[in-house]
Amino acid sequence: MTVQRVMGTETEYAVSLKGSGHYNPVQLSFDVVNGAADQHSKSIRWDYRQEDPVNDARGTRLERAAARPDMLTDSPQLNITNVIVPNGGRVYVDHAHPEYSAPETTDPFEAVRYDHAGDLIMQAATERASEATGTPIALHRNNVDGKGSSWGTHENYMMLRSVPFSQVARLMTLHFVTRQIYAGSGRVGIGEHSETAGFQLSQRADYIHSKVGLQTTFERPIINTRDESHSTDEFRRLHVIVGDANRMQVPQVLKLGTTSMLLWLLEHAEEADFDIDAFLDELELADPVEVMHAVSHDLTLAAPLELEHGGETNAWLIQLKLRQAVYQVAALVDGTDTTGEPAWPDKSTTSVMAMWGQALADVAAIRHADNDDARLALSNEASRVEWLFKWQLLEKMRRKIAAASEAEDAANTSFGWNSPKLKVIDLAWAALDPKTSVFAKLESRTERVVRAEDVAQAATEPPEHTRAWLRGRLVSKFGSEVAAVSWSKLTARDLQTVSEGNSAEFYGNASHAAASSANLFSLDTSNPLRFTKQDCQTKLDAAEHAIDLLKALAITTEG
Amino acid sequence: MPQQFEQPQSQPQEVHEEDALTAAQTNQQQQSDDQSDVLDSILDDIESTLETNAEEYVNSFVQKGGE
Repeated sequence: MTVQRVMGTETEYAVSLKGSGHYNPVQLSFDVVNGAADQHSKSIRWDYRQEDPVNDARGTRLERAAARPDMLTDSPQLNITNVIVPNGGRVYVDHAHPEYSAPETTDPFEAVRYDHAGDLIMQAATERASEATGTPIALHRNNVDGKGSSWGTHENYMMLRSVPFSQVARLMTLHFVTRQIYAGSGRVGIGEHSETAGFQLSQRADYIHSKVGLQTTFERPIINTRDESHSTDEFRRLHVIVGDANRMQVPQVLKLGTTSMLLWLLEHAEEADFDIDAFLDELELADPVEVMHAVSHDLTLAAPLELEHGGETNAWLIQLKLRQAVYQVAALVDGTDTTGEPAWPDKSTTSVMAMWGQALADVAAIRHADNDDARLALSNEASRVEWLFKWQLLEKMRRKIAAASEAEDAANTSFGWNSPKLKVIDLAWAALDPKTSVFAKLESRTERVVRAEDVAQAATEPPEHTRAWLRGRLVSKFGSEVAAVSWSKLTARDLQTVSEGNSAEFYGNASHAAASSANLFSLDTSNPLRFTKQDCQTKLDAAEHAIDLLKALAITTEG
Repeated sequence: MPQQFEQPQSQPQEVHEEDALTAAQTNQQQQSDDQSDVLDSILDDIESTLETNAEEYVNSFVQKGGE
């Protein structure tokens, strides 16, 4: 049993102009993406021909005409700008947000390293864009503006297609509505428009309104069924849209690590003779969407959750049972050591399982603290639980405001949650610029699992164990010779035929013919675990041109 | 894998409800009283930047929806 599988994150950033209420976020997004480009990357197109956003994991296809225009991410868009960064990731404009898709990685710690490298890449791009446009552009890593809008922080996991999707949906629903208790990043305001003053565990929870669905921008579902695998037929990609933008590393490793372990459970339950359906029946929630909201709004972490088949439970107990199920199946499949611990095969898995246990102990400590004063003193827990640390800072500020107020209800513990000062702390927590970020002031007091120098290196060096290595290196070494890139295909120009004249190229639309094949050569990189450093280093070093490299690798693949 | 990550030192352990509660209570006693001072000093550090037009800053932060 291992936590390792192909995974990666996508982060949409909020973009705004400092000190101005009037700005066009779409234009600012283009400015930022341009700031991430170098002279070569501007000429490399993103190849939308492999994208298939209307394919549904439940086995159907949405009719194209029934799809809202913003679901058609493979349609040609005026002005679309994509930058393939040297680490193999992608920086682009998505609707009204600049977005960073991290390169594919094989481990949650590495995924977090590359996710945070995106913050460095995007902040550097923003600084260049501010200089180029003469306007002070700011990015925030959060999910809400408190006025009705929400944007996403997504996780992606490659998993075996042989697991019935209904089991995936049921188990992941249980996990996603309850993991907020240790993974939430905290939010001032309750309701999509912050209609009610207060604090909640999750940024994203109030914007989730359905159980299962294909859409990501309206009536957002707990389980997103977009089934673009960007991989081979044996696998599907689980696309997760319910998560928060975290600044702290521990909740991020937990999100990626625990989810990966539970997917492993699904993939191996049968082998261990573990009755997954009985397990799911016992824990099935009566109303998961309501639970998503209730868990996020409940700072006591004790809210009773109604079960579909009678009785009730709570979020902490569900997480405990999910973790125990992983232990049970791991012990059956892999055996145990002398202490009874399953024989975890690698360090990452051992760490993730220990961190999951620690997270549940942290949540237990928060639950059983006698009052808010006791919760304010929990320093170890706050170094790992982001919503708790944010709440502590806000609660301290709230008390200061209340102490200075002459209002009659100032002694009330709910007094002050509407204060702009609290809202500004919540917002500035997420500021990417270290000069204005509240989080930057307390980062040294949080538990870190990835070293800063390794994050910095990940901004320019691709991961070594996936196809992202070839993508990043190809773009770095050959720049302008690369015509188009996607997750599963690389296309290079034939310099000889291009120089002979016909260089017209069209990209961005499956129904629109691409350049004649005589000018281009494409390599299929559907298998994310091929085209690694080990597979490609020698050929990359030997190649004089991009097209030579891709042809040499194609021969190897066929052989 | 060639990369070495700094990973938490905590030892793996099975978590049962009773154990977690005991751990929680022990933790609470061991917790330093320093957290309150830490939070105060962070607030002092950020308050000067927050005081300038907090309301305007928050009000002007308006986004369009995303995925």
